[in-house]
Amino acid sequence: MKHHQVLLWLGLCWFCWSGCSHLPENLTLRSDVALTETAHYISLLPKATPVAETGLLFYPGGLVAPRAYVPALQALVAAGYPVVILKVNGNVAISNVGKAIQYQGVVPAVRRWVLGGHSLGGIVACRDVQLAPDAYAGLVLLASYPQEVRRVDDWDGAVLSIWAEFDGLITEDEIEENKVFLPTAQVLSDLNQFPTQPTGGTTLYYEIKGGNHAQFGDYGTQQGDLDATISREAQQTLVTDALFRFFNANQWQ
Amino acid sequence: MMRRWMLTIGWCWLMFGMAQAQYLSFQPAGYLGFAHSQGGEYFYGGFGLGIQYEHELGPGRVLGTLEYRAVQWGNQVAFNAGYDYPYWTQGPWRAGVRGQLQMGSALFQSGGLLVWGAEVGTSLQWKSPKAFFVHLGLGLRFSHCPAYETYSQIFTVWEVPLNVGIGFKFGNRKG
Repeated sequence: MKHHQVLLWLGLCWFCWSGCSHLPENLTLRSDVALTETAHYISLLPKATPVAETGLLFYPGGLVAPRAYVPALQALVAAGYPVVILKVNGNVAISNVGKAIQYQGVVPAVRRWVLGGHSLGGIVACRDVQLAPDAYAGLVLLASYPQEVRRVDDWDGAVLSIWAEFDGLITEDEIEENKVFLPTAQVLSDLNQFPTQPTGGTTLYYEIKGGNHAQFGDYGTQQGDLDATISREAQQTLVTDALFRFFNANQWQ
Repeated sequence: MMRRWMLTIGWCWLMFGMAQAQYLSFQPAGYLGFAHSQGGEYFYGGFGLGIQYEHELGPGRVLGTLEYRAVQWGNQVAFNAGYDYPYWTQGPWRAGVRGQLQMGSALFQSGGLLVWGAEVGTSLQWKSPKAFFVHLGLGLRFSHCPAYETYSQIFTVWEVPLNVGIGFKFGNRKG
């Protein structure tokens, strides 16, 4: 086989490989959470408690099937907060910038939306906030940060940035370097340091000790990631706890 | 051995085909969805790229398309085979009805999942005095990824594919 043929085959293989998504792993749905799926989103609503006036719209990480975030977010739903996980073309959120605002009417009881995302999904969430700052009360970034073109440092909403100690894809240095593109930083060394007052105009930074990039969702391991020293369940419980404290501090019921 | 057989068959097909007109086109496509396994709903199904080979056979053309596209379950690569029957020709214009069957793989890190589908549609082509032609296609497609049912409530989609292509003719230049 000649060199150009080898290069052609390698190119084709790379093209296909680069489009491969991660399938969800743990598909156990809590009995107190109702899941509805459409072509545009997956909505999670509480069954046993009244629907809160605050909801979370969430962009999945790059090349991760949206359902991989159901296990991580369903404890929040069971407590009353509806969650809408957006589906994006090719499982790449960057192809659907601005999609979140179109689905704010999905849960009529919700009066304020918090926008969130994991990894690439978080970057797109920052862009959405930049495009429509008044449409969201808060921003939740899981292993993510905005670059300069998506800066939201002058936004007066509340931001929560959670990253993991053994994240091989988003490092602490990157989080540190890009703090200037988010509202004023407040670093929390543990969950007990979460403020009890509204945090508008502030970014709360919380590091999950022992966690990694892929354990923010349920989709197995990810190439380039480091080994976590805590379980997936433990990491996701810490995320849920941080979200509850963030919502409570801002009096988002 | 298998590879040698495939190359031989492919080579014979090409040589036999040189006596007849053949067409190769590059076809970007958009997919507008209107129904899926959970019911009817408008959605944008994704964008795709296809390389289509057409070979004159009988009154129409045999079609073979290698296609890569975004779809409800992520991305997929597939091969389509079908036939295009002309119902109207005038000067450089040609319109046909076509039917295609699809077999492919949804792309996932843990391994591909089988995808199959079927499409009927119409095509319109305008051929320049040289060997180049422009193609416009509109269809109705059904796609199914059976194993994705484990991971999602949506594992079947109905879409209207719209593609615009540009290509060239080779082999017998007549006709």
